[in-house]
Amino acid sequence: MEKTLKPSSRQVDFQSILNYADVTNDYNPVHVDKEFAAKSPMGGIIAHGTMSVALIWQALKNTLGVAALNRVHLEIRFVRPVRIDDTVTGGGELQAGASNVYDVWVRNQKGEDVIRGTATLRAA
Amino acid sequence: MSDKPLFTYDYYEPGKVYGVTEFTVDETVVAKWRSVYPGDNDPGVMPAGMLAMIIVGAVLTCNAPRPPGGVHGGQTFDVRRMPRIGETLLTEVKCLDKEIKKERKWVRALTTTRSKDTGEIVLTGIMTTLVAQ
Repeated sequence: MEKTLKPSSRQVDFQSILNYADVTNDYNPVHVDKEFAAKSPMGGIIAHGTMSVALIWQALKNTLGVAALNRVHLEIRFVRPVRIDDTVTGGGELQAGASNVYDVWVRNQKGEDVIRGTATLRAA
Repeated sequence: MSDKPLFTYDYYEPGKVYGVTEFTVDETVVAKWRSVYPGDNDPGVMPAGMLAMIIVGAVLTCNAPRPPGGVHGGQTFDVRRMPRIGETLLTEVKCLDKEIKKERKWVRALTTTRSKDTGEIVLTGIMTTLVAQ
């Protein structure tokens, strides 16, 4: 197993959030309504969390191959919101002493974790 | 306005099944996904990022209407096998549990996604949501 997942990045602008809402049919106003979001506890628009989870899947696929995705158990927490104009990167490292568990993350351009979790690969 | 009850925190019942949704992994929806993620272009393979779309879509459909502004706090995906392009999937949504922590109201939904043709489980998930007040 590779020790480090090949990172995958994207920039998040408001249009890409709207496009993601359209694809997923998730029009929660904290993602798409600037006025509502500003008055919400989030204090402004946040990207869908799952928009960034896709970067972890890409990092897993780009490192381990598409077939490996058939045996992944992925567990993540959204620990910080992703804001308009953030650049986020998904990646991970094999846990020390483990042969099949990666600590995975998505980080913003400040190096702050926005998602943390683990990806466990079952035996092939 | 809908006559259906609002999915407030109090309305969720742990153990209760709220419905089953159908989702077909057709070329149109995959093309839409790839318009947002152009790199997800492996021929014949459903982009794995779409797994979240299947789970979240099922929960949002079965647990509606909701108060606006809920926040997705965490997610588990247990992939038995990746769905195939052209395959139709059925996803059952069940309330796993709920709890109040530091005055925040959390609900966990358990989703089970099966192949419509064979009944084979392809994916299970747990979606943790901070319910809007």
